[in-house]
Amino acid sequence: MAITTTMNKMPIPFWKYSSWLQRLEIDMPYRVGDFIQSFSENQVYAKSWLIERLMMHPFVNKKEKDIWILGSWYGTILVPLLMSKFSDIFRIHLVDFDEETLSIAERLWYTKTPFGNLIQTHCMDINFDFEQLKGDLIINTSCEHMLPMNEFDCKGLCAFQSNNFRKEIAHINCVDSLEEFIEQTGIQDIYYSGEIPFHTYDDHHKRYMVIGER
Amino acid sequence: MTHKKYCLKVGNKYTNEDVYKLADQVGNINVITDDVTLGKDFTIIPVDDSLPTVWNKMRLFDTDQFPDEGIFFDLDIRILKDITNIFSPLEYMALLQTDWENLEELKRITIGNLYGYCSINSSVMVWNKKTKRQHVWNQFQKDKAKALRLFDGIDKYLEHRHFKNLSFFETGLVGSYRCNPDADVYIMSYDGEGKEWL
Repeated sequence: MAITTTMNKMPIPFWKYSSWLQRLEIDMPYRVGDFIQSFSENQVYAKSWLIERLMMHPFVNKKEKDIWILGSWYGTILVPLLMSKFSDIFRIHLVDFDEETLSIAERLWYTKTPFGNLIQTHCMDINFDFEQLKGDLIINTSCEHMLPMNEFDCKGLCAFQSNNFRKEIAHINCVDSLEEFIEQTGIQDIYYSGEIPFHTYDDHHKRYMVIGER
Repeated sequence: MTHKKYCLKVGNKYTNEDVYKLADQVGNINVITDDVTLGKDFTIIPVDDSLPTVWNKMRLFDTDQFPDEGIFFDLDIRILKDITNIFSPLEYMALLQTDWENLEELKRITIGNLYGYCSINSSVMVWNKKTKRQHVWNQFQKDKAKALRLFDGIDKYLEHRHFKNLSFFETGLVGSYRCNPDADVYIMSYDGEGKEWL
């Protein structure tokens, strides 16, 4: 599809989401709500916060970046932001337990490169199936959905997020403070840590982020 | 049916009377329990203290601990018809698939919830000499610490870690009182509800 200069300047291609929503409505209507949630205001806020902080890190200059996104969901925010804000990406790996989610993500983000598809998906339950991981950048914005990251062997620049929103039943590992989250990440060499409101409508619930080397 | 019969009575959820009522229905039964007083009327198998309550059911996958063919009943089931010949041999440990639930709807509402979905019920479990089950127990030994942290019971653990290593009873053998109290089934599972019959 041809795109205009204006479209080219938009980091998140919502016209793609529009056509995917139409497709999902017919093929997988039960997925529509979940797909819509993946680019809600909160999601855009959290993911763009992460990308903005990463853009100030020397990582931006790294050649042939190998990037892993754990608990990737459809990648609706992170994938296009990474692709538009970072150059020289060799591969983006999407890791999720949900095969159907990954199948959508793979088709949504298919990008041909001389080395095959830029996107590679990995269906696994991180809690049990994940042993060792080495990457230039390892992103996990869903730490509250799994066991603490310090229980896994990750090597590389890590950008992790979690929160204290325990009302969501799928959040099995929330934390109560940034300090507690820093401890859980296993990141020793911290480049950035901070917190933002989890919702737009209350101040009690927080989202935490830690970026640093492991 | 030459299967040895087993049930589990650990903690306070069920009483000794529940064990006697199950035995009235199925005959001589072996009780996995922490209650030595049941020893005067039943063969008792001590609980494994490293496994919280219902997790003791996982031991049924271990051919060393349970070498004979067997059938396990939860204490809140009721036998409604003669079950002597209803369980044909199955490749893996046979459990119930909760076909009485709207599983499509459950799948929809648990999207994104890693261990939210469950279509398995272990109220009745059957195995025979040829049933492949040891590998599940071996894997559980490796998973144990994480499994006890992440799952609230064995049904969800089996669903999410061993689904392909399980067999399921035919539809219509076992029903759920909660979902269909009038179902024409051989065994009714009360799933903690409707215990007035006990």
